[in-house]
Amino acid sequence: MKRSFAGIKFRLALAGVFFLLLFLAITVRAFQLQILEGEKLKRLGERQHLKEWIVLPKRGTILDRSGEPLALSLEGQSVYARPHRLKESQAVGRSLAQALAMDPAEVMQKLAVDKPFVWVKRQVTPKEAERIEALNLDGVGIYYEPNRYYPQGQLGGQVIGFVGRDSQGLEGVEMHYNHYLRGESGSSLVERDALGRRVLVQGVEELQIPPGSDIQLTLDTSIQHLAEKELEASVAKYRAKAGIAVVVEPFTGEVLALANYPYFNPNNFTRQSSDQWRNRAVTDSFEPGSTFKTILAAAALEEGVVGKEDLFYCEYGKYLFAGRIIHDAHEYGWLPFSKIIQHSSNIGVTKVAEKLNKERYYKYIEKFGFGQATGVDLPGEATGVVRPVGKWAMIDLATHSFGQGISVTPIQLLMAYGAIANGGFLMRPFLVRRAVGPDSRVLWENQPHVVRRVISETTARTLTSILKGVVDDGGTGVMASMEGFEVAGKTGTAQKPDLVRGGYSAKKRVASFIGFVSADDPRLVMLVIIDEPEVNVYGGTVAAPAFRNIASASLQRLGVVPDKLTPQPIPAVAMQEASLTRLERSNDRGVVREERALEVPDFIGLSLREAVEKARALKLKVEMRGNGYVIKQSPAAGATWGRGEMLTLNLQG
Amino acid sequence: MRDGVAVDGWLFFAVAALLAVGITMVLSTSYLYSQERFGDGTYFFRKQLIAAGVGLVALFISALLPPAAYRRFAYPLLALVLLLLILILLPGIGVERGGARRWLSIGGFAFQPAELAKLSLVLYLAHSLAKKADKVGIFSIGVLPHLVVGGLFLGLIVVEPDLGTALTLGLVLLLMLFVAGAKWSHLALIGLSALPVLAFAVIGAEYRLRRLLTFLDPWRDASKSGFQIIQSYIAFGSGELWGRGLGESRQKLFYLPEAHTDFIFSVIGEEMGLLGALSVLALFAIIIVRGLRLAAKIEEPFSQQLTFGLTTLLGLQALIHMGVVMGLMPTKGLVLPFISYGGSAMVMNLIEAGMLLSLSRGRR
Repeated sequence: MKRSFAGIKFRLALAGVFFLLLFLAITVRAFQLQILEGEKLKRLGERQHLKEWIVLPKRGTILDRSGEPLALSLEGQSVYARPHRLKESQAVGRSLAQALAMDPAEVMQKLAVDKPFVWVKRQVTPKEAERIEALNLDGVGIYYEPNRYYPQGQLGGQVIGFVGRDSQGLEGVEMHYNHYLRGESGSSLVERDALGRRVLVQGVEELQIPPGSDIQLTLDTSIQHLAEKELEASVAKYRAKAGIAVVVEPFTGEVLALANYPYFNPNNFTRQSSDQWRNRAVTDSFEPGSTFKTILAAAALEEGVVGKEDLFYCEYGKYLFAGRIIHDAHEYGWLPFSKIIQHSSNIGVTKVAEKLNKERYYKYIEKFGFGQATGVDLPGEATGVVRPVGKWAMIDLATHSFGQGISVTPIQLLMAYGAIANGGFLMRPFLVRRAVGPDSRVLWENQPHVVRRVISETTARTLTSILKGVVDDGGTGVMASMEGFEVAGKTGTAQKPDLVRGGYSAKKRVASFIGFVSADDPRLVMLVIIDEPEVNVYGGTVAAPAFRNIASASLQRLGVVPDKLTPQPIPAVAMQEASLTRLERSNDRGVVREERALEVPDFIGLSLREAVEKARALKLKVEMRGNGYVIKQSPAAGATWGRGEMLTLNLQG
Repeated sequence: MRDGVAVDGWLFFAVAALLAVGITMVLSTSYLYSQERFGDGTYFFRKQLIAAGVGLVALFISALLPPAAYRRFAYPLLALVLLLLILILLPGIGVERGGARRWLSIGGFAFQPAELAKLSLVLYLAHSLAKKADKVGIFSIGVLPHLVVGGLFLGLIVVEPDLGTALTLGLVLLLMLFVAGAKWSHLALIGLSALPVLAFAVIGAEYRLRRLLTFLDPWRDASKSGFQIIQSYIAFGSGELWGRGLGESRQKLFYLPEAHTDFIFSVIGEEMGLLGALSVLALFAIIIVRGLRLAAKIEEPFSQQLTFGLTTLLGLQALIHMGVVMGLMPTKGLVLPFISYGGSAMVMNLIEAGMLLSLSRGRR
């Protein structure tokens, strides 16, 4: 074939057509992608570029009652990887494992995940972060996220609780007050690159998020520290399994200390079991044993079925009741009611309970708050188990009277004793005083709350004097007595129910002491429970000394002046002298009373707490009605009025 | 018609405009990537500027040479390229990046012999087809030798592996044979026999098969194999008519892989919209139209074949790049001439443009 110029021109034209078709295809495709589907594709793009960037505010601080920080938020660093971007994941994995002191196999496993993003290690140390920076690996980075730090370590660990990695409270105050502590997280639409990093767009202000609110506890760090130290010492000394100590301000219900041994350090909550972080004083119930006799005594006194000195025959240690024999630890014959409590006679209280009857007894069990949550501001509160009176067998009247067959939480029992201490009011316990915003403004304040009046003031006083006897010579709680202060309290040595075989365990005991001090002007009511002590099992021996040590140091810390400036005589020789001291003391008060007639101070506008504090400072007897702030008082402010008179305050709010 | 040193102004304008767009887009697309990798946002940009400078010098030199001078390079260049293509396959000589041996390192510069191979093959074909002008219709003389040489090139490039470049060269070979007057039946035979080879190449390498399946339906596996092409769609779609504005691409923020090379046209579509994309397309259209018209006017066989070959080489690369990023062809890492980042391609493309300009001299 001869080369023809025309033929080539034709073929060039055909090639031109081929190119034209390609051009057309691309033009049409561009029009389709950019105009017809443009909007749809753009939206699709925005879905990946624009990401709602959630900024967690800095979590608020938890402070003790004097402003000591117990939980702080610090900036922490976490190491992440982008497995899809890793070029030599083997080598990267090895160097990561080395830099972070991790198991290479574990790191490899994480890097092998088919995800765009994985955490290699969260909350690394500054040193580790530095090493990672130095490695400068492609696809590995450091993310800054807040880290919760508990400067006091285990102190009050179960009360404070802990926080998950995304600032959600998981236990304790951290959980209950999460709303305040966490604050409002903010979010904004930000542009992100394919690696998920923010693209800084000029002119867009960095999102400013106000931090969460601070929470101030009623807890007193030094009392808490004392309680923990003494509790641990007692548990160790008696080779016990666990222990609980709770200290509450009886007039307000403020919890000053709450210790659960074994202790829990929220700084590394993952390494401890849930048993350890549970606040057992609130979440667990137990059979109270003899400490519950006080509840029966309160009921019987309030109902007027017994007087302090009424005599009961205690059958010399064995008493057949409802087909069962009730035993006493010691044999007694005739005992006055006060001595029945003092010696903790099971037979004595059974006879009192018979006289009271079960319906009336049950009414007081309920009034004292057993079987119901106290409303303490902590998560997971248990109610204990109180069977309704209709289901009581005959024997239950006896067993309940000495604290068997019923279960209560430590905090319930403590608040019941608080009602005896404060003249008859069941208070709601609380751990948090207030929430303070970032601008130091008080956002919310917890107010003392009277749940109800349980017993009259007269009953409370009578009962107090009986409970003083428990600590006096001849009582079961002598070891709780302390120099300078009168203690009112009760020992308990409860058998533990055997959950496997039924009935009660032959050996296991719960030793406890509960009481308040000073008996007639109580500043604190306290419960010490030692669970399964081995060396000795009696509450008076095992728990009472811890009570004494914690109480006396706490009173000193609170700056309370001792009632009795003369040293407490040695109990073994001083039964008489003790009563003598008491006489002197009441004389003392009489003098004060006669000396002055006072102008009634002004309480209007004060909060319940402030009113209680003011009344206590002025040593006035006050009756509160309602909650909130004082709106009315009688007698009115400025009126002349004698010390002995009762001041009535009406609150509202 | 004026005789003299005047070159085709349209052609020169199109190349210069593309070069300007290209340098701008390389800065726009590589800045963050470069910042990320080298802590220096202009690293790629500066390298590209140097390549463009070297390329422009080469363009002027080749534009000044008479076309007949090129003919003397046809065989030496062919031999050199064959040697280089074999050399880079040897471990220790070829530089491996991302699983492919495509580079030779000479004095600190990484150089892609495949770019030289493109020019070399076109030059050889133009020479040989012009020489055998009257016998192109005879299979054993006009077709077979070219198929053997072309096949050798293609084979060596396929094993690098760089299937995209090989396919581009295959198309250039076919088109040049076609225009030179090869018989339809011969071309059909080549096409048919190429099919099983192609099929084997695709099925033989799992990633190629995956690519093909992804091409057929990218949304089937949008988060993995379909990811790249979908990101490219998003880039085009986000550009709409007017574009986001220069430098405003979001897709270049690591959503698009290799935004400064294989997907640079997507970023053009996103930042400059349909109008910008079509403008770039139009610039390439100018090159092709002027090249084809030039080829039609030239009567001297070698110059005619060379003009058509160079035009096809530049035009096809551009069209394939665009077709790929728009999902009209299976994904392959192909660069856009004069625009994508890459020194070897830049210098070679400018030399090719310079040769076209030389060919256009005195023919207006």
